[in-house]
Amino acid sequence: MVAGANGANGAAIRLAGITKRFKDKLAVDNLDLVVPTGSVCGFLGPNGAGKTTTIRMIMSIFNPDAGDIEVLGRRSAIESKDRIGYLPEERGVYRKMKVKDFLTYIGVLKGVDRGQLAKWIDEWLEKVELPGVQKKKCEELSKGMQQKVQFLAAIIHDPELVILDEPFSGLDPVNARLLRRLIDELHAQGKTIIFSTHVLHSAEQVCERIFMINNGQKILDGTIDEIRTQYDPKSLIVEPANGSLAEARSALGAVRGVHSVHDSTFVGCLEAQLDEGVDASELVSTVAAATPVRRVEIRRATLEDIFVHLVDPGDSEDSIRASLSDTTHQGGA
Amino acid sequence: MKKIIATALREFKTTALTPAFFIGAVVMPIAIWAVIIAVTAADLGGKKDPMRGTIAVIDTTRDGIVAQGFEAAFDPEVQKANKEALAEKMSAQIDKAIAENPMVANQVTPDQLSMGKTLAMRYLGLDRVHEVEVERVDQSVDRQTLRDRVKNGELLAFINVGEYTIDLPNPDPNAKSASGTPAPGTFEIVHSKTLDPEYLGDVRSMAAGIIQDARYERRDIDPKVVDQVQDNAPRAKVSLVTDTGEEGKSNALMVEILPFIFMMLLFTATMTGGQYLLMGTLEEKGSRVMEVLLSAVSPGQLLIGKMIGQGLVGAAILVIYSSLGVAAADRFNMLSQLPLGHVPLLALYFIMAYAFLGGMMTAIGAAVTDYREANALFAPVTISMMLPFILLIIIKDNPSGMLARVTSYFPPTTPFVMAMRISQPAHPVPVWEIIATMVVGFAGVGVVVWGAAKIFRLGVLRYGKPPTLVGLMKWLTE
Repeated sequence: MVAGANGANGAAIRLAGITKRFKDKLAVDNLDLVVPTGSVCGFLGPNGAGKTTTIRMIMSIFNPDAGDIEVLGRRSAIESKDRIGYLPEERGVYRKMKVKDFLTYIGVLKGVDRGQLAKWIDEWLEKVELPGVQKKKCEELSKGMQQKVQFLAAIIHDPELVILDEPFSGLDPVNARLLRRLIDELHAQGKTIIFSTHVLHSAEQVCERIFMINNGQKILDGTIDEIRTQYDPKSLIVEPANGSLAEARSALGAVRGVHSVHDSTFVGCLEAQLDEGVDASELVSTVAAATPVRRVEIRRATLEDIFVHLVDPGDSEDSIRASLSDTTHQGGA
Repeated sequence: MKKIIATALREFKTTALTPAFFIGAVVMPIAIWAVIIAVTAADLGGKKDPMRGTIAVIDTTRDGIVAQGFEAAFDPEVQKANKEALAEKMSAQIDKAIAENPMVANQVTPDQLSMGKTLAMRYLGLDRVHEVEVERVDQSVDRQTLRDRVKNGELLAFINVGEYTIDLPNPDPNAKSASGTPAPGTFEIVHSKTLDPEYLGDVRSMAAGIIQDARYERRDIDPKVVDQVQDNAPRAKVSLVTDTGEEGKSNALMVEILPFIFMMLLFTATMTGGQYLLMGTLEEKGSRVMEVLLSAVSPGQLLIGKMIGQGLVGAAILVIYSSLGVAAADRFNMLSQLPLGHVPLLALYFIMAYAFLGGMMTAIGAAVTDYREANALFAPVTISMMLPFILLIIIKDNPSGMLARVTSYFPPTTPFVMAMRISQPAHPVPVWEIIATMVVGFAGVGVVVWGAAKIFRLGVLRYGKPPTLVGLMKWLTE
């Protein structure tokens, strides 16, 4: 249950200069990445950024055109496939197969003994709140239930490294919360987890480390704290007590250390941008004294802010999809 | 290796150990035979109505001998007597045939024998008495008038017989008959489209019989003597020296159809396994379970596992049908006619044929996303494998000829043609040729499996526009 032999440097995954091209489309461009053993890492980026292609190269489903990959201390995931759990973005089940048979088959392919699997499957089905579905055919399950079964197929063999491609896609809030809990449990057992997602809120809650790529290139790499510090907006959100924004704007503009004041994205609030070097926490009481306020808080950078800040609008989902549809379809990029 | 075995077992279990497979491969063929036998035995076809109506005869022979013969032949009493005589003759022949084959005699009960005879009588129409009136028509009657009467349903047919009909046909093909009379040695039947084809045959053979009898009589030959001679043609007891040096039963029909049976067995087993491979790959790709599998096994392991699993399905078909064939041959004492020594070779040819087709089918299944797209790509494959069927007659007729030899060295056709050739003991295939075709065939298999592995790896996660055959070839160089 605890992470085993990994890279000598403590990295579960190490990518060095990997590049992948599909005809004219450069999907991944000279990408370096290190996933520390035992960490939970979010792999973010707009659609078409190269996340799935990178994950498929990590899984040795695609070979890179250039660069080196090291997974769990081996030169290729093929040598350690049984130690890796993988939930692909394009996931499916054998529709006519019974749930238990499907999970057993995948488990056996991953090198687990049938006898042991029978017990694990029952336990995991209980844990994901799917008791009694063992003998049901996969096609009889709802989409959400099938997604849980697919998740179990990825982790049923007790892998050291878990790679989840868009695991929250299509899940309702209740099941998304359940999945976050399971990821936390796996993390607590010492497993390394990397997942790509568009649900930035979930990534923020679960991840220790974030990688962001765009156009096949890495544009962000660090722990959540490092990133928040790096992208600290250095501003305060102020909600005037009397609702008069004009009055509050004037008062805030006069406070020493406030560089400028503008409307916040929160309705009925203002955002006070601070001067360089000013400690936001020290200015909270000064601002509260300058004008009647209902609320004053230090604004923290969210992943969504950072995502929007870093990703060019031209790299949005729609434009990426439009450009991808002209190139060879590769089941993701 | 464990992963390949696990994949192969899943493929085999989900295909062969299902009610659908059991029904399709075992129950259906047996059921079809059972239904045919049951329907025949229960006489569900019903008794056919006899021929009813009028047949006009224009007879310009001396004494109107044919019209007379027709009138007599359609007399109900005469018909009954003739048919009873024929039935007795048939029954005696059946009894004689059974008496000569003790194995069959022990297996058939008197009830079954009686039922068999009844069915045979029905099949031969010996239980029907036609209600036909024969109308003599003068030669001077306008032909159009007769045609109108046929069209109106007044007549079933009219028959035109001339004096020269009794003569032997003129060897000169350009010889012309007198106006309005048939050419020498021939007669005419002009019939309504409502006349049952079987009854048209009866009328034709009846007229021919009467004319034949007339010919014998004019040459002072007793027709009864001719019948007697024809009915008792000399019968040969043909035996075969078996591999053990003993005399065994010879069966020319068996020798004739054996090459076809061998090839059909091979083709059925190969195509079944190949089709399941294609469908399975398409299903895995369509349901997006493929990438889940590829996270556990390499594309090569998956390809080999799938091919082995469905190969076992094809082998199961081969074993089931071959066993039924061997059991049938044993039951009818014809086991010695089967070249059982060639079974290992047949197994090798099956592996060759299946690996060739299976490799192609898996590659195609991986490259496309649905069955319609696959159809466009595997049509050329199927056609090349159908080649032995198209050339069946020529190859079987001369298994050592140029065509047979050339197609023996063309990998898609090698196993089928060689299966046909080795099943003809009258044309033994030299050992060196068996080895050479094996080498060529399996070299072809090697190339196909290599290409299939490459296409499988590239195509299995590709969606969207399907590649063309040329595009698929280009993948091989990627």
